[in-house]
Amino acid sequence: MGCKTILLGLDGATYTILDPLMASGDMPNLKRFMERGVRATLGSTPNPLTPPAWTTMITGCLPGRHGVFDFIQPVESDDGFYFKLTDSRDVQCDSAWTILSNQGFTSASLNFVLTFPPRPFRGLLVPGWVSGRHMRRAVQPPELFDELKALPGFSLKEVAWDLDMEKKAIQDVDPEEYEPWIECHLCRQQQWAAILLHVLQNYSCDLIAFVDDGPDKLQHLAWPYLDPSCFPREPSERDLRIRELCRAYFQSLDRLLGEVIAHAGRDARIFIASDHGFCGTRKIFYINEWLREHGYLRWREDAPTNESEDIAASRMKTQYEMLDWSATQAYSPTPSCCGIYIRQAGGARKAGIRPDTYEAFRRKLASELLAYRDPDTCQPVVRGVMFRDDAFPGPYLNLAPDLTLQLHDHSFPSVVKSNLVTRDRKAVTGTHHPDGILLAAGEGIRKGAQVERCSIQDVCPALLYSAGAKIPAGLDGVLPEHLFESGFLECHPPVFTSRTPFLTAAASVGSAAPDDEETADLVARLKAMGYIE
Amino acid sequence: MAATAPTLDTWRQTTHQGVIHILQDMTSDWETDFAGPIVSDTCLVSDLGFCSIDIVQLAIALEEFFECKGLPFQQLVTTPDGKYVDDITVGELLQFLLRNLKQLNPQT
Repeated sequence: MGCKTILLGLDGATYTILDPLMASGDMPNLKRFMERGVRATLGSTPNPLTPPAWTTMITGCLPGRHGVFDFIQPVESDDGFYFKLTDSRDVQCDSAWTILSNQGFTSASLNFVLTFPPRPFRGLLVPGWVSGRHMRRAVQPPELFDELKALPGFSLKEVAWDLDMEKKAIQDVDPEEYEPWIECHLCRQQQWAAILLHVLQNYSCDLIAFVDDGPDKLQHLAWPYLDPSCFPREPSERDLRIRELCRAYFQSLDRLLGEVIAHAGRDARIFIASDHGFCGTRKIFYINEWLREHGYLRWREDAPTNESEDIAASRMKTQYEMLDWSATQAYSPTPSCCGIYIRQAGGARKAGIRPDTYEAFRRKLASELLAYRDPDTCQPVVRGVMFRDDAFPGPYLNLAPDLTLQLHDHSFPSVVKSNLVTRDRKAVTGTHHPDGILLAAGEGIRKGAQVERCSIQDVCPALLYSAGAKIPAGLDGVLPEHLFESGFLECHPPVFTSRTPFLTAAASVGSAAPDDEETADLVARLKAMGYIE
Repeated sequence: MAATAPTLDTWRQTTHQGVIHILQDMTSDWETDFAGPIVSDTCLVSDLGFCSIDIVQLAIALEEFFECKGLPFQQLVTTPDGKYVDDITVGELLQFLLRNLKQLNPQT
């Protein structure tokens, strides 16, 4: 079998880590791949975060148009505050595999976030971020699940998403747990590698898109062991063992790349891309505490003060219960949104900002954030503040935080209650950097070239072009022609289609009674499943 | 022959059967001690072994099946004073759906 186009997504991959690993001989396949192709920096989304960034990469649309901003969506209603987890139904633009399917092409989507519940397309789907109990219902077509279970050494537990394990990437990991935790991710990578190779060897697809999410997890927790500039000068035995495990992870990733190249076929074009980059951070900025100090937020009297390095409460609901909503005008619900929501006053809601003062309020807030100095260093803590209509233009900008922050060291702010506004961490930890990676090689791709930076929304049109499909004219991304040889572009000029990248509006809860047709439709579906006669 | 319009009872019955179908399908390969059958008194947590993420997945499955996104599941999983409930019966889930899927009848 073979594939015209392969996307190897490496969550959080950065040249800061990959370059030393290539230089040390730990990633020879990646080094050769880079030498025979192109290398670029890939600029991420305004908030370089997994859900909006991967969604932008695979749709070619920016968050204001695809509607995904965070892992969760905060909701304020008459019932109070709650949140909902973001899922595939919140993605309002077609993915590359849906666009390809609409044009008669076949794809495989493996381990991408926000692909569950499945949306129909021609090809194979093994969604990422799905727990083991629900994987059977997630894999499409259903018989693929049985195929995967029959793979030698297959372990559903290792393939599946585990919420408790995910949380450990950002907090709550005892140093004693580092080694088993990294080994666990190594096993997980090898499970997903087996799935990728099974698909590559047994199915003919126009696009295979795969994500290895391990680099992100390792880099969050084990940054000092990966970044040579942070590694202890006098390492302990354990430091050395952890570093070796991290190297083993990337060596394993490199072997997977070698196998993919070997199996892909001579005509294949392979793209390697990350949703964002990574860097180290040592500071914690307590954003909600800053808001309290400036009179925009009030904690409840019984809200516990967190004196650890946690950046979020253990449960979202706990986070909401810590705030006195009767006296809170602005708040940050999650570290990952890296932003502030401004509450609008009106009706029964007394706390909040009136619409006629909103503009002045957000400007004042932004100005005060930019002026804030770290008490220890007297340096600015916030390097940039983006208003949502500037950062996220599009029909879904109202779902975005009113302000999105860029902190001086790219860290995510803490949203818990603290007795400090900034705090030094005991050790460096990893955080998302806006510059990711893009490498490509294969027929028609320039060879050995370092090319100018691309934007993450440009990857989707590159994949579509490489697969031989038409590119929807309405994408935010543009075809990065500078990746390709000019002769190849002349022989294969890109073709565009006027088809919109937007999905049909999703069904929502209605207030009217169901009509006979709706009820009959439900009856028909149950009959079809044999549940009623 | 003209189709007969479904009655209120038919709607309740089919909703009930839809919920049972989803629960059976979802839990069919879970390794739990529950021997079934799933009935109105069956508890999601103590009988079927649901954890919080399973309840999220159930909510998604129900919204997909009934083609209604945005059901107020927070009302189902919390008490009026905002505390999480310990468990939910299938009957409570069904009543929640009948109340929220569509306003069939103000008397319901």
